[in-house]
Amino acid sequence: MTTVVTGVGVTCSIGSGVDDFEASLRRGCSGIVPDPWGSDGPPFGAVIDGFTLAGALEARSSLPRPLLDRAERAGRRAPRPVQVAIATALEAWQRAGLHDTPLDGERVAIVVAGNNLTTAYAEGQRASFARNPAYLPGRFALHVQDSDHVGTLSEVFSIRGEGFTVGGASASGNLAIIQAARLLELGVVDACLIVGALADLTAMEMQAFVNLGAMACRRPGMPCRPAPPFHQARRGFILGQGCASLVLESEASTVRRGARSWADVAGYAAGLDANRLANPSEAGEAAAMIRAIAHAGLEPHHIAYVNTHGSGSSLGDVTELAALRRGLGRWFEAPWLNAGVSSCTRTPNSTTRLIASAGSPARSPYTARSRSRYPTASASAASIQPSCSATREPG
Amino acid sequence: MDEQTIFEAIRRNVLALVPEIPAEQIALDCTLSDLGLNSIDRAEVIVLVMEQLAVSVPVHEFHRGNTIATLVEVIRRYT
Repeated sequence: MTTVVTGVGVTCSIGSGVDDFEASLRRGCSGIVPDPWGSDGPPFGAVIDGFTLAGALEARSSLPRPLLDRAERAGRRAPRPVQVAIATALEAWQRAGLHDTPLDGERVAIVVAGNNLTTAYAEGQRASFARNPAYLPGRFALHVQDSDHVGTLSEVFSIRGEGFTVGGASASGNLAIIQAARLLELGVVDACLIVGALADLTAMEMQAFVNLGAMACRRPGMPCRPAPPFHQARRGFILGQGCASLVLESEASTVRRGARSWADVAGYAAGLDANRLANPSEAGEAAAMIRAIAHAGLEPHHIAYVNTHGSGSSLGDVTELAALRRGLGRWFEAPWLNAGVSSCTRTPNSTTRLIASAGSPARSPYTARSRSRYPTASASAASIQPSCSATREPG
Repeated sequence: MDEQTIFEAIRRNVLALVPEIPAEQIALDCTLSDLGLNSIDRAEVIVLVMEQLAVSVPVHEFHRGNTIATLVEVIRRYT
């Protein structure tokens, strides 16, 4: 059976909504700004600025009033990541036409991508708790769990099918798409709302990534703009904030509803490396690529576009290119590579690394773009390979 | 602390959490459930009132179905 993308939504540093996001990409905008968390935080980041739930709901005012009222009531006291998830999912829901031609709520599922999504909210409650434990809001018990995203979305959209979170660190977005596709293939539901949730990190978590050597840190002679992924001057990932949502649906349901198809999920694969550390595995990445291509019934020469992880870490980028070479073989130089949604050569990556929702936002503009058929500003493996191999580092 | 101050704190926080409630409906003889507050909102009203009035009341003192008048009296005893 065919699994179809019928709805897309995105909220990130360069766009509230797919149209806004796509326009920013066309203009070559970067969301990266200096010192978004102050002078003690990471030197660069791409943050969602100026988001309010009220503003997001106003932007969706053409949706039915009862749906917007439920969104407002469920979200007004919720942590920011949940509010952003509601706003982003509303866009996907609307684009899928599920407000016009609804499905039975029991035939719709929710998969939320990400884990440890509300740590900044938890840290923000510490002052109340320290003053007097009795002043800690009871709602903390719900909001501190990632499942709060699932419950809240269930209430807003009247969804009664299966619902769960999928945690796989920066692979969460892709894993959520895979799990949703499996629910549809098994016939458990007719549609699945996927949300790649905003990971709102604490200062402590950001510093840990710096101390681990994974995130770009302050250093003497630091450029005013960070180097893009795969560039020889890259110094680690730039933290970004973002959220994306997809509606996946069975083709039969799409036909019944007369819904627009944005893209198909042709195939997928995922695998572990028998390794608890963060160091990537060329063999593991290549194996997943080969299995995904085979699952789709394709050959390497059919691949025209690769949405890379492209985090900008020294070892990660080198390993990813090597894995592409192994996975695609002699077709290695054929596809266009996309790192961090936008170009990896002409502009810095636009939205940076989004942790839990990584992979999801890139699906939104790409599915839109695949309809409008305009070329992406990106690079082929051939053009970035030399600079990357020049920075090969041990371990 | 006088009872009116406590009642006003409850009323203020009910409206902050659920602004759709007509203010005139918030009366001493109704319960928070009567006003449409869910369990999470009811617990939050109590916590916010305690924090704003700098009072600490043991959780076991509060029972489901308490009227606002009862809540005022329970909180007053710990001021």
